[in-house]
Amino acid sequence: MSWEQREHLSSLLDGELDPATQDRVLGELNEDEGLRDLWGRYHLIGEVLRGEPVSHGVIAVADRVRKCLEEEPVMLSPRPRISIPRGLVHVGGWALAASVALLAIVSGPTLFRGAATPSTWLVRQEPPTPILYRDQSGVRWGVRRPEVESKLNSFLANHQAYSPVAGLKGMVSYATFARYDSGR
Amino acid sequence: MTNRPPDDELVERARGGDRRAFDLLVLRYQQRVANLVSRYVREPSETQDVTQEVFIKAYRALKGFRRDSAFYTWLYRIAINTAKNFLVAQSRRPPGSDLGVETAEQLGMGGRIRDYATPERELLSEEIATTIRAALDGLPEDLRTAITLRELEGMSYEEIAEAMSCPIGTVRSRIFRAREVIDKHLKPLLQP
Repeated sequence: MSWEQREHLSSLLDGELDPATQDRVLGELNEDEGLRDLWGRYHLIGEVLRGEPVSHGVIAVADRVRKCLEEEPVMLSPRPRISIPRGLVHVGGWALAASVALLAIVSGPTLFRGAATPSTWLVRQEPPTPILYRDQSGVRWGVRRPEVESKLNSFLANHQAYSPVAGLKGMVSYATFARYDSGR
Repeated sequence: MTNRPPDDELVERARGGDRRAFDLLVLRYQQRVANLVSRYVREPSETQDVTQEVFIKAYRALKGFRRDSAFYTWLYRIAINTAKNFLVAQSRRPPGSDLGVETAEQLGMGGRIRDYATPERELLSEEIATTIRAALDGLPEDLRTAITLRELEGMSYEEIAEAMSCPIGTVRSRIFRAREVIDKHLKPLLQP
């Protein structure tokens, strides 16, 4: 046990040893029983100077803990998070918001109006085939009064014109099944 | 006080899987933890077992230690919980209230351990304390001041250097030399 090793141990005890030397000292401590004893005595000196109770030799579990941990898998701490400068976080947030806004502008009309709004990218557009809603009795509405039927048709026409989701097939499909009143 | 806790580097290394660093932490705190555990567990052999369990639990939980508190404060909580769980497992009732870390230490938690310490050990402990204090008193002024500022005041080398108007290297050397002088008196007492 050299003078230098002992001085390094003293610095390690105080948390004042540079990291590069620490690794070497830890290795030496692992192999040198004398250094480990010295570590214990240095501690004892500190405890007495601080007025802590001295009960040397009563408890010595270090070796037992050491043996137990030898059988344990090595515990690795999670990698530290990469810190992103605050400015970049804001830029990233704005970029994400801009992307979402762009997506909404591009896909919004198609999504919410569908066939009701002609799209420029459609090469060929065929007129929709009229589908007549008929119940099992062959009547469009389950009412037999023409004025009520006309009101219903009027309601559906307005609904088709103003509802933002009227063009969404599959969601409110009944709307596209409706036919305008022939009299309108 | 701006000094970095001396445990930091060792804790960081232990978190990275360096068992040697954890071993040093065990050596550093085994007595304090045992003193604390002995408040709950009276049997000496049980105190040893529970203390060992505390450190094994601490090792397993190290990756979760976020440094929100000092390492010993974190270890203290593990020790209290382990001791209480031990009592519950033994169908014994744990004490109703816990002391804070500082209070527990100030009240001299070693008292319980002394309950079952043999007279020879008691005598040795007293002799150790007397020898160390006498050696401290016999140190040259600069060495005594340096080690006192470090051990009693908990000052960093940088702060001591500022207080004593000398380079950090000199502080390092003075503290080491002080320990060496005291150790020369202490070592013969501890040899079997």
